[in-house]
Amino acid sequence: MEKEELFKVIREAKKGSPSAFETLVNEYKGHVYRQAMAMVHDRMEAEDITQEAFIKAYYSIKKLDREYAFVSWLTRIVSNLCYDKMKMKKRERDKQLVSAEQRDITAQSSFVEKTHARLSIKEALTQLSHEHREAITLRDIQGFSYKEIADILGIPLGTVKSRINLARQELKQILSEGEE
Amino acid sequence: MMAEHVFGLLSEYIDDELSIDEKKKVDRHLQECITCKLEYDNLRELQDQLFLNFKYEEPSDTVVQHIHRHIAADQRERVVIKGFILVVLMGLFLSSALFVPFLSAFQTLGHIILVFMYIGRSVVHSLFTVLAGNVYISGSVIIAAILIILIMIPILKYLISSTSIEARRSTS
Repeated sequence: MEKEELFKVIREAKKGSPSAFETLVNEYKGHVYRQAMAMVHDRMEAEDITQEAFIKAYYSIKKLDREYAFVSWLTRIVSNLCYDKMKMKKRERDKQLVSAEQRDITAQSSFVEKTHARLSIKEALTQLSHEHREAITLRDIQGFSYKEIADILGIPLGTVKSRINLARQELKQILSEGEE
Repeated sequence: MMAEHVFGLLSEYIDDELSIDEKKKVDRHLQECITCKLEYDNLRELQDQLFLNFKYEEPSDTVVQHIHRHIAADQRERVVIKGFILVVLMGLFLSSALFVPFLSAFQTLGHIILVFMYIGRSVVHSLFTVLAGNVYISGSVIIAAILIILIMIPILKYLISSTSIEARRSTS
């Protein structure tokens, strides 16, 4: 879709046109889903996040100041939802790891996974910290510039550079360990 | 003599985020240094692999259908709320307009009764005086309330049935 045409659709969606918003859903569903999938690595959860992100966007699109900031704004919504989802997952995982017995089993299986399984790039991505995964997802999968990532995440440009650099180094390291 | 390795700049280099001078420096270095060139190739491949692995990821059609259904349900809800407000306002307006002839009828009736029921004059007169004083407000409210209730019954029925349909759809 051409930029001017897209801005027109966003303006109409802001005025409350449901058909304009549906056009935006069709245009950006892949973009939102890819980000969610890279962050949570689970199809069902990624679809939940996609759905929730668009519903949130639908209710708050009137607050969007500038049409050209729509993609960054939508990405920020997805980013926050992924963060919440991962925090929730971590809490659940921590609960499950309460008993020492379970901890032992997990340690064993993770050792087995590390030594025998060759990790795919998608699996390797899940082993990065949330911040690093987020930065590399926005850069390499979504194609945002460093400046745009800094705006979306509300962090300094220098932090974006170092997060992306470290994420790549870590990812390379994880993949090479899997190959050994 | 070969310059120092440029590992620290390679990540920004592949993203085209370096200044012109830094970019030239890395360009020159990559032509001479095999180690950095290898690292550059690895980073480039990693970037391409990441992009390609997610490039064709798309949500299922049901996700989009859910979003569209949610928007449609919200639009229906808005129409119902707008209709409800309109009905209340119209009810108030109509009841106020209708009350004018009713008020004069009450007064006429009151006078006739006063003529024929002289004995109870003071009682009836006082009663109609009170009615004439307050009936404008109380009558309007009663008529409006009856109208609203009559109109709201089918709207509520519709809302309840559509909500239960939505609930059944989302659980199925």
